[in-house]
Amino acid sequence: MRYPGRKPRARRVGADVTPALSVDQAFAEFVEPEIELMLRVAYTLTGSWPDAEDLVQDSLVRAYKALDRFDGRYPRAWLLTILRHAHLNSLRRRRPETTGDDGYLERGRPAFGVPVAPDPWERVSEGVFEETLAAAVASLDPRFRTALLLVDVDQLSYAEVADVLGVPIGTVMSRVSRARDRVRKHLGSGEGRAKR
Amino acid sequence: MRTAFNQAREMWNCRWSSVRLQRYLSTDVDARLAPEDLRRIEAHVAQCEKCSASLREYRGLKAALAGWATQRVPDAGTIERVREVARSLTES
Repeated sequence: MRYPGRKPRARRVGADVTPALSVDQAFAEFVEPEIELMLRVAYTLTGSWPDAEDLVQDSLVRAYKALDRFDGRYPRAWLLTILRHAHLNSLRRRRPETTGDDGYLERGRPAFGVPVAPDPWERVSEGVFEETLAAAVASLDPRFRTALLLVDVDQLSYAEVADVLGVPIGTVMSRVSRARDRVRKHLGSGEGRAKR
Repeated sequence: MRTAFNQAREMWNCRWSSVRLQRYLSTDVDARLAPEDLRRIEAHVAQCEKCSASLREYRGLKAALAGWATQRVPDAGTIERVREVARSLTES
């Protein structure tokens, strides 16, 4: 995919960063090193590598157009915010109704009918544990699951996840904490079995 | 024999520690606990089987999920196509 267009006139990036870079230099320095991370995060958001690739490509175009407004600080946070906007845009194109109702999470959604392994924490077999863990994570509310995957799998910081999801850091921490507790419960927490 | 006061204090300490176990394990700057809180949690976990078990489970869960990252690596073709888009933006 190519994006023909005339080369921008002498745009400089990072007015606060010395020395100021050309747009192309800034793109090479700030954006390209983050491509793999953006792909992993995009995969977590979309659940599909083709969709993740499209999302990142869309984000790169947006980032290139916005580079002259970027101050050179915190490139990863800037790119993750762009990724979020691009993702929201793509969701709105598919589903015009979007919800920002976090109360949905508070009301909860119990995973009825999902079997609990006899004692997965004993790791009777790695395969059983991994399978049960995957089922536990899949049974989570999507917002809990996304936050959990971004932190514990993609190894983003809470601040970075906040940029990706467009929510406060405290909300990210709460979602991740609740997700882990629900997964533990699904796996059969040993709390109730520990002797006092 | 423990007094009712000591039992209540231990229950409070257990509750206080259990809600901070995830932060205790976290290296994230935004989840950081004060040194005195870390010491308090460590002292409690050393003598509470319930919290000790919870800590083991949180550690196991984090390790298992971190292992998923190796299965979620974009293939070389995907990375190259996206890099090509990045190059085309600067070359066009």
